Amino acid sequence: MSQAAKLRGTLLTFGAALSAALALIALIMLSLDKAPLAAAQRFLEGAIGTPSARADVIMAALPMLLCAAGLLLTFTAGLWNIGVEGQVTMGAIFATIIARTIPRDVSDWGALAALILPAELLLAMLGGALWAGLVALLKIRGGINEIFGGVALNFISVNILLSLVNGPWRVGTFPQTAPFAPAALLPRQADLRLSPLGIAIALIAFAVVFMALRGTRFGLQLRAIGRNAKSAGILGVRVERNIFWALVVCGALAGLAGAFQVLFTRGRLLPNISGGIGFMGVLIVLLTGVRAAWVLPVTLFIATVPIGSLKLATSLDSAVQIDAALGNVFQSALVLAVLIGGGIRARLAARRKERAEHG
Amino acid sequence: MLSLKRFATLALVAAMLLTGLMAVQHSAAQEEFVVGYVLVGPQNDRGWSQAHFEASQYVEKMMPNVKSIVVDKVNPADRPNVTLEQVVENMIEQGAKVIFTTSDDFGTETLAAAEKFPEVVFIHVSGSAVLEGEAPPNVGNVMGKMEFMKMVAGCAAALKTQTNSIAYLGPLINDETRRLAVSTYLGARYCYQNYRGLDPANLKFEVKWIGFWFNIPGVTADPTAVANDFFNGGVDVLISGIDTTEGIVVANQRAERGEQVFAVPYDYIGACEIAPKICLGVPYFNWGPSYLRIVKSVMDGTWKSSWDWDGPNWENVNDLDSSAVGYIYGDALTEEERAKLDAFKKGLGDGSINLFVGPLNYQDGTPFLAEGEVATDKQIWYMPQLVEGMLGASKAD
Repeated sequence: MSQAAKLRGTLLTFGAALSAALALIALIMLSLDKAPLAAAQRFLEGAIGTPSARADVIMAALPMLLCAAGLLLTFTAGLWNIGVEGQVTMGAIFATIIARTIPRDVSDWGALAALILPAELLLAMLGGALWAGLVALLKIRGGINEIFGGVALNFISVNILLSLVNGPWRVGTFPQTAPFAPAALLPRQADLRLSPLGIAIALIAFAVVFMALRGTRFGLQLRAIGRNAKSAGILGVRVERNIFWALVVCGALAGLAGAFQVLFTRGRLLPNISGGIGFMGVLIVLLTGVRAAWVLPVTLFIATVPIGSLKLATSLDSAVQIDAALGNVFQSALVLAVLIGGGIRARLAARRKERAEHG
Repeated sequence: MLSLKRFATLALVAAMLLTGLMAVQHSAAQEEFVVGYVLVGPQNDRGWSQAHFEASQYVEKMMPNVKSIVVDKVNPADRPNVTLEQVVENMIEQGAKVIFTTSDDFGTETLAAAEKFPEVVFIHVSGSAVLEGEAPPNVGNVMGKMEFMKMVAGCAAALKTQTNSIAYLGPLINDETRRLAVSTYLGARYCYQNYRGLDPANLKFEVKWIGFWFNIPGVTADPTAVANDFFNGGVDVLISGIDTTEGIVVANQRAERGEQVFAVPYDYIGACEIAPKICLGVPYFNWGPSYLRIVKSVMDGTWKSSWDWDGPNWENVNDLDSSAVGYIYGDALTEEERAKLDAFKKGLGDGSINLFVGPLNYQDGTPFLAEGEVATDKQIWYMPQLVEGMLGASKAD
């Protein structure tokens, strides 16, 4: 199949899936006596209509982009790194180790103050990498499938988080730390919730992964492992070592995403700090069919959903005032539709091939 | 040629687009005063958040030109990528002039938002930043004097108990929850002594804190298990201080097995409906009148930052147009008990009964109020410990 035909097929599947998901939402809204078109207009206006909304969408997309970037590596190698959620959580916890100790006034710290943020981010990456390294060890040394190891470690990370914010790190009556000092946070613009530094870090990380997959030996080996790990091994690819590094790099990027959650989105550590962005990353990579080029636009698209649906929830007009949970329904319906679409395509392609072979 | 099918589709799309646009224009044309409400839980939780939601409807009903924007479930579990700041910003974009942030949880974020939007009035419910002088001039605080209704709850329990053992199912430990537990105990002690003529030293009153406002498996103690433990230990009246219904549900299960046990739920006016036969009544918040007063004063320009601790209307604590807190009697109360509770409420209302009067010691024996000393609002608000005679933890460990 030619490149153009392939692209056309992808766009067609995605377009059809999007229409199906939108139609489902419209049906739900009509059954609730809501106006779907007016809602769609408000949704778009809410998600991209103002500078502050656009900034919110971009910033919501960054942690998902980091997770998706890491997951591109693991999925390319055929690994389902479901533990990404726990790796985000550990990143958030590790970043907090430093962030919570930073005083409000660091004017006498001098050059040391410039090291706070890099130290937090590095530690967060270490935390995520450590957690992913455990998944890798369990798989390589223990023969435990990365999905089961990941689920178990997700569970453990949540409990570590809860015991910290309920115990030694709790400030006040709620299970959370105190808000971090400005010097500990990712710097943001005064008028917009936008962090150019955060955008730069995420885009660089994504670009590095993109290029690693395209043009390096590492990327090539991961692809070989993903196609057929046994053959790759016979042909001299060091399968275990590559699997280990794919997971560890993914964990580091997920840890960075966790740092974004505490150092930007929330400004403190609290329960459910990840809020499912790791799983969101899995959805994005599945939606794109593990194609790096598509990850950026799809991530931005997914990030409009929470921001746009908040606009619907805060609407004055009852005809478009809907529960923001409908946004989640839309997201899930879209993923399901894309997966079904992909399945139908694969089946059609197989049937075509069969017909061609049998003449 | 334009096929019929394609024409029909186009017409349908155009029609939908038009109705959609009209709906938008329609809303913009009205002259209205917009009020925002940020709720921490679901607006139909039959507890804390629903009471605020109903207050928003009350204000709309009383003032037809007021429009409400209610956003519920503003917490990191339900809306992981949304912060209070974003919610508030969206409300202000829609023209909100007053915004109620209805959880203790929103304290610091409300102050930050108020600094950013000095022309909008923020009312942080249950907070006390104004009292502490930390709030910008566009922030107010409001709370209902639930303490009185908790005293009534304690009194009802003391009138009923045959095992001389009352339990209090507490949420997390802070100033507010301590003062509510203390008020309940003081009400119980008073009625046990004065209406039943018994020695309060024989009254066992125990508090157990589950750790949060509702059950979070793995994080809090399980309120169902705590309630069962209480009853196994000889308690026959369970008073709930948490937002959910486990207390009355467990009591009802035990009663159906033939045990003589009763419950006082909390927070929601309809809470007794779960098990009317064993319900001794429910203390509840009624935010409508307070919100109406605040919204009106902002509209006519007379609003000033204040810390309001609104009390009941003692003429009729269940008058939804004037009383900030209320107590609905449960079916399990006899006529005689109701008469005693009426007398108790009358005494609280006219000041002939004041339970925050010395001598009163804190739980560890240090003096709280000297002989004849009357506690100030501040002393009650910032209750640092439980009081002497109560069993249970004063502080989280």
